[in-house]
Amino acid sequence: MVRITSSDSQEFSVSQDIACQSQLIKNMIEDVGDADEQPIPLPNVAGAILQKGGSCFPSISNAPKLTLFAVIEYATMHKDDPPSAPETDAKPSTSEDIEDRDKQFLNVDQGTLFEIILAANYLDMKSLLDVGCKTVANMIKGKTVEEVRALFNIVNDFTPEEEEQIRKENEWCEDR
Amino acid sequence: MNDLPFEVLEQIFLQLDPFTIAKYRRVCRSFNNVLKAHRFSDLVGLAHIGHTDGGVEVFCFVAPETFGEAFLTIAQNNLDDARKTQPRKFKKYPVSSLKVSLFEFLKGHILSGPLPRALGNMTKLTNNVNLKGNYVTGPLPSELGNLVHLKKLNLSDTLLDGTIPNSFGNLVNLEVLDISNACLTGCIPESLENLENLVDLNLDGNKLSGKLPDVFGRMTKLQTLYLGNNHLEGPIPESLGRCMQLER
Repeated sequence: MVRITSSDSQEFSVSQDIACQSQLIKNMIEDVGDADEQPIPLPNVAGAILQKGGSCFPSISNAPKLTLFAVIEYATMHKDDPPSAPETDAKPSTSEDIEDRDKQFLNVDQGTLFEIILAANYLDMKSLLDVGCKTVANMIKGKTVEEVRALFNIVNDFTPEEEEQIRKENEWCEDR
Repeated sequence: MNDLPFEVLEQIFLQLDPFTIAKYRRVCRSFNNVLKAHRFSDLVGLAHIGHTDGGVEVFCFVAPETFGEAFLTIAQNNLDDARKTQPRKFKKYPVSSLKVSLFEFLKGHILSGPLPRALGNMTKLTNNVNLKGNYVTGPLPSELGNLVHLKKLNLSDTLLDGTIPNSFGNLVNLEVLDISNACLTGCIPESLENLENLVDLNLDGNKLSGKLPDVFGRMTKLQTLYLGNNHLEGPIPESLGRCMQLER
């Protein structure tokens, strides 16, 4: 078992094969050697949740600080996956191919989704980062600039002149 | 969303069709920074501009690095015929990963606009890249030096300018290198001495300058060499004497 602690000092015990889906943790364990001694601190990942044990992830999707728990859920779900195949020339993956269980896993509010993506990025969990980015890409797909701003509450931080300049440059590719 | 780290935003946009993402530059600064970055200049597509009076279809490469008004002007100024018939009509053909068949497809069509650096990704090309007589513009991308299996490279009668990249010395399987009647400038790079299999070398009709470097020592198969109509100077290098079957 590997002990990891979140930024809010909650401690989790997870089996090594689950923890090592994070390249970051894997490297740490390899560096430290014996993993049982010290808990591994993850200062950039907010941890915890309701009581451990009872709840499964979808039912706690309103809890604000659940990132590490969610990430562990994901890693547990995927612990028996074959190691990812080396990238082939054959067919680039598209944002369409998301497994159903992952779709359901990421069916959460935006804030949580971005927390999970950030955690996956920090923890270096390629498959989770990939599926998270695909989910966001699907939310963007087909939307206009204004719709994207509205969907993600993004403030337009260009000056009118700057925006006009980009609009001009993009004239050929904007929908007309 | 917009405060996600650069590399995460990049990951997200890489999931989308390259021809739909350019418009999101306008969402906010962080989006614009990501979408203008080098990573996306590796993507390339083919735009259908229209056709000439003679009915020849005209295409151009579209890479995000050439997005914009300036690009349109370049493409169309070089295409007087197309401009008359079909002003500003672009159809977009996304080419998410460049394939060898692209050049097959382009046969019989006119290609215009700058050569994208992403052409250097087509490392499976073995035989022939022939863009003779097309309206391709801009500098020769040094990434073309990645096409190490290539036997023939013909970029003659084009509007390509700039220097011959040093990386062309990597094209060791090249038998024919023809960039005659383009607008090349600068010196002939010494790295060309690696092209031991060269049979025809034609750089006639450019604005190449400087001393002709001593690159011919290992080009034992060289049969034709045209370097005329340039601004080359200096003595003819001694190594040329070892090329047995030469006309000039």
